Amino acid sequence: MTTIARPRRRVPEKAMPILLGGGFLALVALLWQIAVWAGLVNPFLTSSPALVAVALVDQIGSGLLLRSLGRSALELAIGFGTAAVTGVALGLLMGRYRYVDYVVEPYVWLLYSAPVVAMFPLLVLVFGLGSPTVVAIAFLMSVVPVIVNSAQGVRNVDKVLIRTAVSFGAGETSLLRKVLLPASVPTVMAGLRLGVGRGLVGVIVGEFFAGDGGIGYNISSFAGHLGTTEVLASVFVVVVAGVLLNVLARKLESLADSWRTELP
Amino acid sequence: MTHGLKARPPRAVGTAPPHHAVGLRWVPPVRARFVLGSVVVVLALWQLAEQFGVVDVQFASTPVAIVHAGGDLLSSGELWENAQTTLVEFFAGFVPAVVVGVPVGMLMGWKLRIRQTLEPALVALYVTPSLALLPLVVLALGIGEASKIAMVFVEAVITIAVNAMAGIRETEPRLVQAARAFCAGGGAMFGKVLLPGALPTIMAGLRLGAGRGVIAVIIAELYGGTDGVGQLISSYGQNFDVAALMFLTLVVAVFGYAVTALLRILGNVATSWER
Repeated sequence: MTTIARPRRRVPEKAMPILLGGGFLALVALLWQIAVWAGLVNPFLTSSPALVAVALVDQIGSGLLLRSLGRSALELAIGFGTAAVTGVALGLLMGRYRYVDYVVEPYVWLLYSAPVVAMFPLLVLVFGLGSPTVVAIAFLMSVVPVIVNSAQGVRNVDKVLIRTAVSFGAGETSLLRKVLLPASVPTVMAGLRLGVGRGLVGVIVGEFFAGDGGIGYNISSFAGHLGTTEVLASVFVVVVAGVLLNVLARKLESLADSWRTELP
Repeated sequence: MTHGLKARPPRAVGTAPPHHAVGLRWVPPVRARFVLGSVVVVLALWQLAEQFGVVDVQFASTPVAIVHAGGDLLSSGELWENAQTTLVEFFAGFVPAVVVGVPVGMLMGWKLRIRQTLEPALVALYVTPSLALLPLVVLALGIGEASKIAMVFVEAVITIAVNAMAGIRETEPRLVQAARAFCAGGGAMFGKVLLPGALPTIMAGLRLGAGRGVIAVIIAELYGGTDGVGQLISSYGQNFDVAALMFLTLVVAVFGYAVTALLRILGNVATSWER
């Protein structure tokens, strides 16, 4: 379907998207900077790209940025890591055994539509203020898409493959290892990609409310001191981290799928 | 050896529901029984665990206490008063997001140059937690209603625009070629091919955007504010009134689910010609 549309997109030079997209971002930054220079807006309220760059260099120099990034990354790694393991395991069970699906389903949907972050007072009560609560929020947020996608992946496995494997004497474990898992890899990986995105939201927003360090905590504490420039610098770091994570997840996704041969 | 497969009923093996209809499939009684049974058993165990002192009431509350807290919140009118504020904020942010997001997204899907210009910025915002902008928005607009409306708008408009763009781009190329071969002008191409083709994806975008908008308005109120359901959650949470906290969270979850379900029905009506 898209193979037909592709030639139409490739006709312009390959540089066009980079030129136009990058140019747009550069233009916005330039207009912003000019508005500050010309005195049209108050730099105390709106900051400016130059000020943000200086603040970023300062934060790198003082080690604050690296320390906060490391902390947030660790929280994300633990929260998302546990969510990936439990989510895939639970999703596989739900996809394979429909009674497990029926029993667990209502709680998954509750977790999906409930604002997990709003439960932070309860989580603080249980885990205390700081990283453990942030990890718990990240876990609760990222586990849902992993569960839903893993279950869907197993449900969508070609029934002929399962029947063939069973008639050749495959037990439940080899069926899982040799048929169900490989066949559901694309859907599971998509779930993990969605999960890591929601996990990042969980870490940042969790740190707003319950953190005592990390990028999200920095954003909220700088904002408390009216430091627009520092807030923007941290937000910029979060945006870059989010884009990088997404690119990485997509790379892994296509890598995990690369052994699959296209059938005509 | 084959008990795993034998245990499954023959229908499940033979007739798998088609992929796109998974959310709409008929709910068999056996499923309803299991779902209901699971909920009842968990609630009962929860209540009993409190009674026998297995878990601390202060941490986990009890289902009965949650119902009591909910009754109090409803009868005192506290919930409805705050819910009105939240509803107004939500719709004041969501409606403009639809009005702006759908045309911008469709334009990006339709016109190559516009897409190339705006896509990097939009996608960067789409894959990053835009809730990170919350303190900044509060700095700029204060802790009043404006900052909540702005947060709902930002969260929803990005999702809606990205999906509208994807919807246009996923239009069957053969349809576009056929329309072009029959000399369809810009207007006819848009109104008769691109828009109907993209409508299901656009509606999915509205649904996702509404879900993100509900979370955004609650978190924005949680962060700072004078009224609204999020503020109510925050004040009960700070007093560690776990029963009220859980009831309010449940209310938000149900509201988010209801908005999503409503948009799903609306989407099915709007694309009824598809089936």
